[in-house]
Amino acid sequence: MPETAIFGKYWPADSPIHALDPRTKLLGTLALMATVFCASTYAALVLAAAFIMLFFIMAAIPLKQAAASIAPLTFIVLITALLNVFFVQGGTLYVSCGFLQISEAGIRSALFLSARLLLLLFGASLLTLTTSALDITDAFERLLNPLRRIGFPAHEFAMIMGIALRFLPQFAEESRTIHAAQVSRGGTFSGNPLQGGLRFLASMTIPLFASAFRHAETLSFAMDARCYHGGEGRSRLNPLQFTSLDTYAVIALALMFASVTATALLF
Amino acid sequence: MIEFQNVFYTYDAAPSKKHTRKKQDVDQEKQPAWGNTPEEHWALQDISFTLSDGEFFGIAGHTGSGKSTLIQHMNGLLHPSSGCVRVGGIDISSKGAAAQARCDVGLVFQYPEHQLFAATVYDDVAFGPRNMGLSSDEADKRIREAMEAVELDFEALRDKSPFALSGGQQRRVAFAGVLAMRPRTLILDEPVAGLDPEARADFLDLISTLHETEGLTVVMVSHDMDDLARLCNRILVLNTGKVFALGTPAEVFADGPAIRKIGLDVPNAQRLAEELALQGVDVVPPCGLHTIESLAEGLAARYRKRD
Repeated sequence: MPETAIFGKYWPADSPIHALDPRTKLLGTLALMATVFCASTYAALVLAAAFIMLFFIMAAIPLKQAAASIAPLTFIVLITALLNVFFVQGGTLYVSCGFLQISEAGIRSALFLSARLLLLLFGASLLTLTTSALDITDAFERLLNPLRRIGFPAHEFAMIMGIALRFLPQFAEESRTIHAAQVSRGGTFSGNPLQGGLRFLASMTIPLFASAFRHAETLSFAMDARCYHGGEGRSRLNPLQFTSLDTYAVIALALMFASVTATALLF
Repeated sequence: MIEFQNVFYTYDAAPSKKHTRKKQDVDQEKQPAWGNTPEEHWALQDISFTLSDGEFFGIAGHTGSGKSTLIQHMNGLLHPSSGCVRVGGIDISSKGAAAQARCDVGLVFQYPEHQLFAATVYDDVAFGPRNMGLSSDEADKRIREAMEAVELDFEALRDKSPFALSGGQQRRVAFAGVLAMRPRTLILDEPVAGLDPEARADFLDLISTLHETEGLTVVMVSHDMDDLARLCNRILVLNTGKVFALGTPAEVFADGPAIRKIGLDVPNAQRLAEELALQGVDVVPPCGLHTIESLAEGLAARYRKRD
């Protein structure tokens, strides 16, 4: 079977990061993101990168795997960089061609933002690489629980998220098969771009929709068969529990946030 | 004619490391653990064989042995990491050659009914011919022909939605969609999976009719050793991405224990004969491999002799 490279597919390993409570990891990821946003200078960014690198090493995730997991999203980085190159003006003007102007400030901000976004992606992928989708949804539900008092459907929300996460790889796999099948029948985007292209698009999306409905139907039957009746009064086999590891993690994150912001202010 | 020459394939597309990794794996004869570790690399290893025109060629192997990967090489959906695949003598590694190969080599995927998409049966079957750039007259002719070949009523079904048909009929429509491209070689990935016994038999008959009357070269992936033994001229058995056995059904199924060791089995009649032989009832098959008929006849002959 082909490996499905999806953003941060769970990478099973026996590491202190994997063993953390998923709630800690979820909130920790937010802290990580906040830290990266506070890193407004290169020095601070390098420090943040060092911390994130350390977390990856602790999580025993090979760098290659980490890079592969964010590869599909690098186009966001590219687009952001290009936008910055063209729209941020100031400093020396390098290229001027009609309304397109590339200046020193543009290139600087493009480079900086790319580095920051990449770091952000790496940080976020750490969560999904070290936490199974089930754990993430669990943590999500528990963290949203207080909102139930004001009528927020925390359990349903988490369930939707869980199902979506669960079926992502499935649909990736299926879309690959459907693509291969339609290409086998001579379908391409090129050739006759307008008519053929649209037909090809339809030949990809409609079977995917059909498959989504099929899965939804069987899944709902399967849930019914297991007496699923929503979150009310549902008990847990493995309740989430904070351990001393989580305390260390909070300390490490606080340390990281403090040192990175300090560096950003000082250098 | 489809030739495979020392084909290696890995889903892990890291071009710079391809060569070193290949050497390593080949030299050290590393045994891959299939289906569980994300680090595993070789889906196909050193596959070489030639498929002649007019053959009925079977492919067997347990789940994850590389069957689906192998057949996707036959019409250029996948390209070997090293080695080469030739269709009709032409290397299909280039884009143009692969596109041409897709007209000559029709590939019917597993559960092809899941790939139906058009509003009418007619439009769905027309997808292939239209992609080939055929005139609407020619396409129309081929669509009628293809639907006739799969025994679907053209007039009754042409304007129906394919989603309104039964599962067996949907599969026929999908099958017609490939036949309408008039391939000379037809590749079928588990064509009868999930069909009821009657539909199964009908579908297999249909395939063998196409093979005999139209002279189509057929490649069939199957888990059913009985079907393979009955229909195929030759069978290729894959194990962990390598050729485990290649030959006539009699040759391939000659060594029952070895086949069972890789998670497959010999045809039912042959297995019964093997077990009888172990109990001292030896019935020699007329041509290497037992069919239900030959085993029944052999046993009957023995029984008569005893009287």
